[in-house]
Amino acid sequence: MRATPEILRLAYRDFAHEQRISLCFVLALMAVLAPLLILFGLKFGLVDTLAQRLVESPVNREIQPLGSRDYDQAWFDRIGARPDVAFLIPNTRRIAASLTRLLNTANGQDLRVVSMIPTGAGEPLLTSGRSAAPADAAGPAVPTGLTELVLSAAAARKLGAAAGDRLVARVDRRRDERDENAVWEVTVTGVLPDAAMAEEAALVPLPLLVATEDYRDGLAVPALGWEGAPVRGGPREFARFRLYAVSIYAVAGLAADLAADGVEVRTQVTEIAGMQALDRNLSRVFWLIAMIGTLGFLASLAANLLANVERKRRELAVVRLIGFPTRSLILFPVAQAVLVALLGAAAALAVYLPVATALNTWFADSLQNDESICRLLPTHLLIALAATLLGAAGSAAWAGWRAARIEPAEGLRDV
Amino acid sequence: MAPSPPVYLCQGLTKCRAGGGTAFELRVPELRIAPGEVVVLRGASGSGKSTLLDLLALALRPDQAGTFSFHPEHRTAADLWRLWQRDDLDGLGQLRGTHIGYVLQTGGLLSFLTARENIALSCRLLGRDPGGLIERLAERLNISAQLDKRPGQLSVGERQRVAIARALAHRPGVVLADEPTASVDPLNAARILDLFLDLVRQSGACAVIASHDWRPERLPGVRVLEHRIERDGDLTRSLFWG
Repeated sequence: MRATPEILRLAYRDFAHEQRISLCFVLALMAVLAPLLILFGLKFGLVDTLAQRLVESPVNREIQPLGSRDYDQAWFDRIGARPDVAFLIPNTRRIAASLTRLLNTANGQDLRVVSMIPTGAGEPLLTSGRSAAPADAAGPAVPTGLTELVLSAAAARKLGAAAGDRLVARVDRRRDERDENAVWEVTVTGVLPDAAMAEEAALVPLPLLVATEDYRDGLAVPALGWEGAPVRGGPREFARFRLYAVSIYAVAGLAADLAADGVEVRTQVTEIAGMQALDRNLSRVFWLIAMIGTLGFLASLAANLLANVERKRRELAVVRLIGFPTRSLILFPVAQAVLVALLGAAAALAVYLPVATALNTWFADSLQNDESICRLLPTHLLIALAATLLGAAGSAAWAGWRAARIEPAEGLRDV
Repeated sequence: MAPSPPVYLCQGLTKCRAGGGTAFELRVPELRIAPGEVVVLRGASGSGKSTLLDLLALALRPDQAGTFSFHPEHRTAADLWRLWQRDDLDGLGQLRGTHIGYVLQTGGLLSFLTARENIALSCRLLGRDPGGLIERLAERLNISAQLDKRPGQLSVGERQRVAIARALAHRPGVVLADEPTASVDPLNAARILDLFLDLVRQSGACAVIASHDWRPERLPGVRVLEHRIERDGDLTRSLFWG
């Protein structure tokens, strides 16, 4: 039977013949679908970016000790092994944890009293994808040894220093009624982005922090050629620690366990709860709008196509009278609906793409390199297209089937 | 040689229509139409001529039938009443598309196709090449210049003639026509009617034509069906037989 290619040809001819009405259907579909695409784009861009930042931000995941206590290696091993701990490193006494002066000999700029923050493999401030330079997506390298450090953005600005520069570091001490100082050269291996840390500080390897603490205590550091009393043996204990939970959701539980262990800590739990509530409510608002929008979209699509079949009853009756089978009568509106859906979706995409680009350009300054304010993945677009096609073909098929149930004479005599 | 079996054989065929407090019933006690025969339905407007034609065109479901069979010449017979009872719309559609040409009162042309495409539609559906037939029909019907126009660009009379061409183009065994000249002036009506009958006779098809104003005495070789209207309270019963 030649019915199928023939009816497809008829459907196309009718669609083309009524180009104005067809254009109205396409524009109507575009008008409802385009805002919906932008709304979903904002959801996957803006809302998810904010949520991701909230969840991943090291600031929100940090658990800071209040006061000093002696933590031994066993404590660090035990806490560090917990699955909800992302990063744990010992820290020295607050009073010993600073450089007296950092000097950039190349330009004479210097900084006094630079606090040192211990760092090591897995440093959250370096690995959270927050590097400033897009080319260096992995972030600055973790400093190692006794002569490497990473500067905060504020410190780097004050010193006019960049990654790869050499600086002169100085630590003062008073020993045996005499003022002494140790001076040595350090290399800047990287600079933290502004968002990671606001203060003027340096991330240094733990051995360097330990060495300066020893030096301040009047001990010798042979590795750097610093003189003093011989280093005491035995396992070392630390006064403080730096601790990050794997996610903001783990912070409260981890803090509670530490408190039960007698370790008083400070966290962002209250702020996190507030932000989570806001995030949840924003998501609800979004899904509410999206749901109403999607239902409205499908309803208007179905209504338009049903009305179209209703309008075409006479043509369908003539087609039936000529002898076309039921499947042809269903195929006729379905083929037109598919055309409307494809053209409408393409038109909606043509509206969405420049709007998304404009939004992303306007907000480029407040975004990190792999973030966007408005984003839809190809998968999302395919889902939107599939839903549109399915909704269109489904309602048209139903309307066509209804029209096919009518005896040909009835459709003809109605007019 | 035994006479050919009738193309249509109807016994006890009825179709009711109700609405507005009145009821209408079409009843065909007995009807036989032989191959090649030209039959005219006469009756006032509203007498059920169109309803009977729709039934014969397999386009309307009868309410009741003792026998309702369709036997195109040189083909096997089909029990229409059983096809309707089985709700086999595709089967009925196939019979209609292959063996019946229907000239509708309203023309029934597809507005988005040209006259030529409208005429060729049945052939295309059947996978047949109409060849030069469309041009020959158009020439006879004097619409050669109109073949590439859409129905919207044609006069009523031209549309009617395109509809006649479409009903004949696939060489059906049966041609049905519902008031084919009602919407044209009397002079043209007579001309179109003569032409139509000529074409039908040439094709050898049997024809059933409904009309309220033809004078059968002017048309030799045409059989007019017996017709009577009965009123029974709110019920109007229209009978055709022959």
